Amino acid sequence: MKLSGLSNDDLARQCAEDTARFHRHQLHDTVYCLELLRRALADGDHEAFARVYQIYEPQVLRWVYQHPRFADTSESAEYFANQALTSFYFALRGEKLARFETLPQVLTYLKLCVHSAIAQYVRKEQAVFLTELDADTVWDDSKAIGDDLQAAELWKHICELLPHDDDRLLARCVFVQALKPAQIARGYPDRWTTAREVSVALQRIRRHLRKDPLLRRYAGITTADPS
Amino acid sequence: MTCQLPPPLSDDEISAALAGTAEDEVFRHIAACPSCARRFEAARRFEAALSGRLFRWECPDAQTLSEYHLSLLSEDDARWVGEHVSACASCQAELADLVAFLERTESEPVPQATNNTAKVRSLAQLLASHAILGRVLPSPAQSALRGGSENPIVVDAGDITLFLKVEPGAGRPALLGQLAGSDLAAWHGALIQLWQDGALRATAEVSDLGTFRCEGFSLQPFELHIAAPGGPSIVVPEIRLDE
Ligand SMILES: [Zn+2]
Ligand SMILES: [Zn+2]
Repeated sequence: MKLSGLSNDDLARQCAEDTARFHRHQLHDTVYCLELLRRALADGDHEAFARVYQIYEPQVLRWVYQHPRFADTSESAEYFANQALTSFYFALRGEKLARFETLPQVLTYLKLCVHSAIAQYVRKEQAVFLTELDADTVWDDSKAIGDDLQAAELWKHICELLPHDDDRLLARCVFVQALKPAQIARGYPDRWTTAREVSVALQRIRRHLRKDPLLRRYAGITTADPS
Repeated sequence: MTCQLPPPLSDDEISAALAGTAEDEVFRHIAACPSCARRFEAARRFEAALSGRLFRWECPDAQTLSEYHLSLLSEDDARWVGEHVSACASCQAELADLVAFLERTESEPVPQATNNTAKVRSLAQLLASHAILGRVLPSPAQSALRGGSENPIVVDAGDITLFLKVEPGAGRPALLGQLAGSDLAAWHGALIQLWQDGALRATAEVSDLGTFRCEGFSLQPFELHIAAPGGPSIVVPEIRLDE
């Protein structure tokens, strides 16, 4: 029977069997799974996408557990699985599935979505930790573009306040990369020989930045607050 | 306000206290002197505001960085991401994680994580802290089946209001949805997930008119998740049809 003649239920049944065979290291076919994925993503058939989700969710959960950073998070594996399958849908719907020719390629991309979901979450947690602010203040996904612009403007202003290359590099290491003085000294031995030297230079930079009216306003420090 | 223990702490002593490298004497001063404690707090807030906005601001998002690794980016994107990665220790570390993760084979046993393995199968619980929580508004008219054409279910989800109708059909019910709100464009193309008994039952996509149609579920309580392509999402916990 031609693939196009099969119902979504038939395809899903075949694909689930082939997936189970794959996990038992038995000979398996990939055409049914590929056709189900094609209908789900390229054709936008939502019944097919629900089947794809149901078939691959257990695999995605196993990948979440295997990820080297999962244990550092405080979220459930189910949360990351949902995030990964949702971004998989957005990334490959429409014409974008055509970039992949084989099932293993598509599944590698799905595995990549698992990594991205966890990595993005870890970034957010690091930012929250750095600022000791609540998550909503630090990271609002819905305003991602505005945030980028604001960060670019803020960084441009800091660069204007710090005309020397070494000072800019230090500010970048501290505020953008969250590096400690010892890490900076190790990373740039040609510029600073000890962590102490880095700390002294940073104190001077902070003193300078803290006096700037625009940065003070940005940080919500009123003129009544002493520097 | 003046320093209670003159001389007041210097700016550099405040910076050292922030970095945790100050002498004990400095911390004792901060604990005992409201004026210098206030300066310390202002400096901490200043540092937090800058770090919070600037931390990894130039980094490509995790998905783009991962696609770079698989050579899936356009030539232009691959060029800037490549240049960035060569100078960014954080992105290099993230890529190293990705490489290690992709190299892991299926046959390896699944490690048992310690603290976050408890099985959560309520979508609302799962997404609670990451999504806008939709609230089903009390229905004015009392009828046997909520969600009928006379009696749509209305969900309040912040800037968005969601109207739901259920067509029982002949053994194959359909859920019809309409989103309304001022910033509807952000929700065009959003993915609808309908969950029942802790599993995904049906999905749909929000049209440019803010409508969607879901099929393939049963006339039982369900949960809805609406994920917009740009990131925000709405979760509506248990929606009952029989109240
Ligand atoms: Zn004092
Ligand atoms: Zn980076």
